[in-house]
Amino acid sequence: MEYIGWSFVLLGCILNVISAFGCLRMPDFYSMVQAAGVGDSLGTPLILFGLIFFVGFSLLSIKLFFLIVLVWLLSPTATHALVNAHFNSEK
Amino acid sequence: MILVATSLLILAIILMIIGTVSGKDIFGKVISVNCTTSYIIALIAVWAVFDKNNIYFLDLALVYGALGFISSIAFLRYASSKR
Repeated sequence: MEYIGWSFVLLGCILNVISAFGCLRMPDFYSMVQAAGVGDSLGTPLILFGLIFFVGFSLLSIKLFFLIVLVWLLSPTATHALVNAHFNSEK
Repeated sequence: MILVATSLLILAIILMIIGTVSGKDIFGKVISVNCTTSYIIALIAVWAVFDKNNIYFLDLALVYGALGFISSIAFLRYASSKR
């Protein structure tokens, strides 16, 4: 069971590093947002989902589930508001 | 193994801090801060699980995520209402 958790955690960490490099090196604003959304909505919930395999069913795993729901609700909302503000400031 | 995961996350956080300092306009800086918040949530969760199942670090991560979202929205509203 721990190897499944380790594979999820390491895949999420590698995706976060790829997203950070992409967010640093992309030339345009919208492609930068796309590179940042990978780490926001795939990397961090993958790490949190992999950590559930370590703790089993307890209060810690319920809090990790709430954290996944929070990240999946709040991070695309923040990205949408950011793109909307940039689009309104352009014209 | 935990050393690999933690060092990868710290590398991502350092890259995003560099992106925050050397961003071109205000929106690039805001998205770098947003990404930094997401990575710090993951780092706090990793430490909460592997440091003898410390349950209070996860409360800290929940509060940090909510505060990061609110600060990002407030800063975007301030930056878009300035002109």
